[in-house]
Amino acid sequence: MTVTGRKILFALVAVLALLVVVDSFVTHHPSFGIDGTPGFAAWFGLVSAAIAVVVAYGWGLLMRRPGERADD
Amino acid sequence: MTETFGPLSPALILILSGLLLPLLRGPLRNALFLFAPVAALVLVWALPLEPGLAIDWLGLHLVPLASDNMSRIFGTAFGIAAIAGALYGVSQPSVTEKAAALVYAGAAQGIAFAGDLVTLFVFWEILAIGSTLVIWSNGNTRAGLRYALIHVLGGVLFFAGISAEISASGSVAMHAMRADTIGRWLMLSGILVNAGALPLSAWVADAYPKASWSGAVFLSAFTTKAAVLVLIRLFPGEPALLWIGLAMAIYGLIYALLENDIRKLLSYSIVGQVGFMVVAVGIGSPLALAAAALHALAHILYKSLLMMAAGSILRSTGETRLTELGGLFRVMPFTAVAMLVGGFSLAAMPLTAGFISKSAIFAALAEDQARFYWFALMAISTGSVLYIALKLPWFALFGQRRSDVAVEPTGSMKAAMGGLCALIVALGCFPAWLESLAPEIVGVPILTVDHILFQWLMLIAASCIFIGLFALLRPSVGSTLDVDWLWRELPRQVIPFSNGIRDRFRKPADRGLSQAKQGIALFSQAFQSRLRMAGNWRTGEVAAWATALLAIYVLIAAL
Repeated sequence: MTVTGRKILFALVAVLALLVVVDSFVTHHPSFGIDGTPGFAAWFGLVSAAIAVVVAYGWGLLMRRPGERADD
Repeated sequence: MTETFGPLSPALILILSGLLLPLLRGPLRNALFLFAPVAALVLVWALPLEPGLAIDWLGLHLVPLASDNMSRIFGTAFGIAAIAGALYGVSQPSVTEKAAALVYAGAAQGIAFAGDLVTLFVFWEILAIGSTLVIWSNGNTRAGLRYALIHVLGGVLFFAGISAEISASGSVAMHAMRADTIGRWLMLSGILVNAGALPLSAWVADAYPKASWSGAVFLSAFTTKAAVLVLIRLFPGEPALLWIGLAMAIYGLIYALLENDIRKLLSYSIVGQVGFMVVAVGIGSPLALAAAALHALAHILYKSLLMMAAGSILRSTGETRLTELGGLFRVMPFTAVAMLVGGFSLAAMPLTAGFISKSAIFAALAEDQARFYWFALMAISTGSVLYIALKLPWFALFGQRRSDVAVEPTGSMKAAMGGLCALIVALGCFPAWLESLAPEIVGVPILTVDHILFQWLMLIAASCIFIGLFALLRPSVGSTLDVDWLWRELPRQVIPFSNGIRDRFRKPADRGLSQAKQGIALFSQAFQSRLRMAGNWRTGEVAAWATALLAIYVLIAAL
């Protein structure tokens, strides 16, 4: 990762942490219980986005072919 | 107003204008191209919310024009898309595309206001013809043919299902049903082909990017969303739609994350977002159906805007591959803002239309206690932030510039993009109009502090993953295998193989053929000489042979 990338990531993590703190002081209206816990959206978002990237990357390793198709 | 317009259909205005358009020239043609969609939208709102004129034809009770709340929502969405698309593409020189686009938009309106299965099917087929012509008008015959064949298949399935339903029930009325007979499964399959459902989803990303910079805007708005409306009308609460929609959402996410071409990426994204609507239709509650309709409306707005931005980039640079783009924010700021607003709306960023409609879908899932689908779609929604709000702008708009901008977007293109940007943000900031369109969502907590904070946490979490796993998301030149490999690649691989077999058997076959030719030549010579001689046979001999043959025939017949 480049230095700029590391700086952006650090800033994003800091903002995320700050919002999780704010989330602790907000009244939630959960639909299933767990989604009303403070910081749920943060960890659920991190996990689901990471899974999406890894699954897409894995699918790409299997199904991605170099070069474009004949009439694309 | 209604008394003035009577039962005039918005579909009729657009289709007749489309047919008339090639006969006009210059400013008159452009004026009609711009005026017809506006007149259609006025009619959408002028029609009273009740079944219109009924016609008895060949024993069928047809209701070609029936307006209700759902047809008004979809009619409004189709109307806005047609107006914006016409304004955006008014400088498009192809008259075929313009005429086809109006017919296509008219067919979508016809589906929205169809009050019986026969009318629905007629407009369904006009929709397929109009959209095929939009693709063909850009010179992509093969892609257009593939698109047409897929829609012929969908049309045949749909027609077979409708025929079975009419013969079983004796009525052409449209009513909610379950896929509990073969006929209804055929009908559902035909609709799902148009919706872009698996396993035939590949047609969307194959066909839409083949249209011109302006044609793709129309294509992104009508076919799949018209199918969603028909699902709402015919199969609300159908359990199969839950997993079908979820599969579409996963497919759209994975393929969009891998895609390098902007317009293909947006096409995969259409399948994914339609998947959200299909799941909502599968839930089937009044809130879920209203949410599906509103998400279709929001999706039509932001996807039209994204296709406009992509078309603007294509027209200006001749390029849509992320690997060949970059740094466009500095040289095309208007287009860049349009792409960002459209992307943020798809990512359900607060204060955009997409946030309202997606919130309504999740509220419907929660109301129905559909726990699995709620968490699954929430995860997919977070994943969609990666490709539309991060990957696409990052590689197209920022960083080093790799393509030259030859032409600037025209004033009308900017006006169309600006109008849609304003509408998307206005609907997100003031959801009252959407609530008046679909009163079922009134009780849903959308612009509340905890809900907005929830969404921001999701967006920033996705951004962290984007930067952290940047190397895995870098676009690459290539193509991702899909089901359409069966009809796009397999024949190319089978034909050389069959040619090899043919070459192997060619020499013996040629030898046999030449011997056969010699034999035929000898026979032909002898036959010709006999024919020449036939003219010299004596009459008595001919009569004797004829009598003998006749005697043999009579003898056989007597036995």
